[in-house]
Amino acid sequence: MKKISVLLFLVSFAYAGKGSIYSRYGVGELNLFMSGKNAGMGNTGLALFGDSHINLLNPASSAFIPRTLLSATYQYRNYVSEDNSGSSLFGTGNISSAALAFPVYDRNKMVLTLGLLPYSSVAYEQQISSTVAGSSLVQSFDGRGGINSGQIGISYAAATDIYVGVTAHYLFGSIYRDQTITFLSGSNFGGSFHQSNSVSGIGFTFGGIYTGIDKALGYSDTKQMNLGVTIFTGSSLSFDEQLLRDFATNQDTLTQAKSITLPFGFAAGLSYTKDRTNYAADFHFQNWGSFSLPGVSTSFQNSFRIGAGVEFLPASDFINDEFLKRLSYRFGAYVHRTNLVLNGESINELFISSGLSFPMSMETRVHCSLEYGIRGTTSSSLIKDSVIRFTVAVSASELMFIQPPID
Amino acid sequence: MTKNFAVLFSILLFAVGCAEKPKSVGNGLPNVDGIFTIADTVLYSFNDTTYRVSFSAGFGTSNLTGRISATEELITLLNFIPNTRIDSLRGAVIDTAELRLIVNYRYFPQTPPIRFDIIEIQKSWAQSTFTKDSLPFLTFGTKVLGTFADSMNYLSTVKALLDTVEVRKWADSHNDTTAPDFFGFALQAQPGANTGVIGFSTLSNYSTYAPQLFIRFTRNGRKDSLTFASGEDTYVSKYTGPTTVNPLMVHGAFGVRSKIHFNTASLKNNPIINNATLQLTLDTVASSIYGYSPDTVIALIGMSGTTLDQSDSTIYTYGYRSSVDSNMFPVYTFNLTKITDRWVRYVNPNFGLTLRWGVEYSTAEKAVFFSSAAADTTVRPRLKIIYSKK
Repeated sequence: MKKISVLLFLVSFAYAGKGSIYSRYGVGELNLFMSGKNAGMGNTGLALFGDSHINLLNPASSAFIPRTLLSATYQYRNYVSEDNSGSSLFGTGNISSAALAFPVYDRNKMVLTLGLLPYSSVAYEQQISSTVAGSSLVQSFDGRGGINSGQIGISYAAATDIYVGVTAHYLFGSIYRDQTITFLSGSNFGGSFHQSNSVSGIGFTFGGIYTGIDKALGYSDTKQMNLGVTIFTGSSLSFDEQLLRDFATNQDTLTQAKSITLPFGFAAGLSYTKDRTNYAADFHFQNWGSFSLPGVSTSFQNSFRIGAGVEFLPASDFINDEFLKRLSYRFGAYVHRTNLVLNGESINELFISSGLSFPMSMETRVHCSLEYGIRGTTSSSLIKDSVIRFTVAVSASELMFIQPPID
Repeated sequence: MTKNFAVLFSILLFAVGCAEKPKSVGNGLPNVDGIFTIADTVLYSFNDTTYRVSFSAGFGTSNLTGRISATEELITLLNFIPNTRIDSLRGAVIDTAELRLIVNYRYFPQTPPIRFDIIEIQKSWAQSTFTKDSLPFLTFGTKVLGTFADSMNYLSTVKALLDTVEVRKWADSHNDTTAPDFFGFALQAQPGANTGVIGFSTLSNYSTYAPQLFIRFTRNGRKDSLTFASGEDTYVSKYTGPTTVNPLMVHGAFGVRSKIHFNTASLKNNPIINNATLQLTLDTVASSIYGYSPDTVIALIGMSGTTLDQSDSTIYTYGYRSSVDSNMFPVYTFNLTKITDRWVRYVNPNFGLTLRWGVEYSTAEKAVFFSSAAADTTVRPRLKIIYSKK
């Protein structure tokens, strides 16, 4: 319980920093991160089961978690944003997720998973300088907040080689957007608009993993290949807008109740395990082309993501073996057509990643990953983000909720 | 284990702080949630009205005396009230009595010596209730009790000998309740003389600058003197000209104010008023500004569409003579940003602006501005507005 309290406290630091200016659009920058282990493999692993970590990509993947697992993740992000006029460097970090998983009925592989992680994050600062009628002025755009997912999921062994799961997401959060006009000459008053959007709603992710697809197809005698699929139902979110307008002499507030619909999406992945090596490849789709934000004219497009990764598992599982033998290494990459179309250009991402896991004690492992990628382009008056993401995830295992055997 | 976590957590918190503010990149990105657009406009007044108000001049800094024209005159009222009975003067012979005043304001003073007669006020009056228009409620004695004849230089002390019989009457009125009342002294320009206006420091000021009644007396063969510098004072105006005045004008001491209107309805959709500047062009020929500093006009936000002189005394702005226009006329400039913002946001209905001279009660300056009816549109009252909207 004490650990849970600490984790909740740490999560409260989330979203404190700044991020890509692209997070100004839509509901912000969508969170792809699901676990420290997945991050090192190009954010793939839909068809991989978690055992020493909680794989939030697929609710069915928790089926083989043997004991209570606690996981917390910190992510530091460094951005170099450049356009044709120059570049800007900024970085930020925060506790990005916390999760807890524990088996509730081992016979059917029922493992309950609780998690708190971002669905999207808005974090940007932008300034536009200009001179109008001889007055120099700066317009500042500042956004923060995002949508979080408080979620609960459960896995279930539906049949031999078929594992299913469902995650219920309670999506909530606030997105704050401030726009300020400041005159550099002292006699002119500025003003600002402070928009806050509170969102909340429920959505579901259904998932399944079929093990042994290679054997079923006759390619192998052993079950080395898994197929994983997930379906996100989408979610209708209430979208309460409050606009505080700050004028020279007074303020006024406008409130409106609206709604938005996060679009349906699905994903499919394959994994293949051989010689203590995991190979994984995923494909993700989300129907953002149907998405719109009230009062905003941004056009969105369907998003696709294709990723692949490889993991070299530890040479030894024995805790008395030398440290280097107990390390696991990962590499991966993904390409992502994001949901944004700006100035007629699709905003795309290309990321490569690597990862490393090592034991800190018998029941605790640390999963580190380092990702580097490029988002966007400097053509069409857009910006190109060069992003470095460094993630540290700690998974600790405990024998909670399991009745000790009676001697 | 705990130590490892502590170290890791410290590193994380350090990393959280490693953020640099972004610079101006991304200017080419679409502003989907709107960008402020800046615009400017000039509104011209569509209706000006000049009117007169009454005010109580008591407790001010100057008592004004003098005649500007055959129709405009100011008379100072002065009543010394001793704090206690004046026992020293009982049975004493008043040798001389002198009224001493300090000049603190001059408005077109005429060639010296400037002469003001001192006469007796023969009716009761009170500083707190008498307005500048209360002259009809007074009666004055015809006998001249004394005369100031001085160049009336700024900050000089001017003196006039008083009729000792009248001063004895004044003393007795404060020593003996059965004695006839004495209601004070009035200062006025001699009949037919245009003196300009002289302001004298009032009893509300520090005692060293306050009017003094200085009395030399002999009692029981011994000579002595007394000085009195407490009591009540104010001034009243005497205006016999036309009751309505056409120009856009403000006139101190005589309570002439103006109402001016701008139609701000064209500023729609809640713009942010970044700057609003009211400019009034001074008609130097019609104006009479002697050079008093501060040379200011006050604009107060109007509070009624039906009552001319109804304004909010807490929402105002000063206008200063700041520049000259293309015709070399002086321009008074007012920062009207906050008032305009209130109008466009309906915090206050737009009932126009009340204009009055900056030091209205203690000076007699007259500022006449070109009105909305001026043939030359460039000198009409104008409100220059810079605003931004999304």
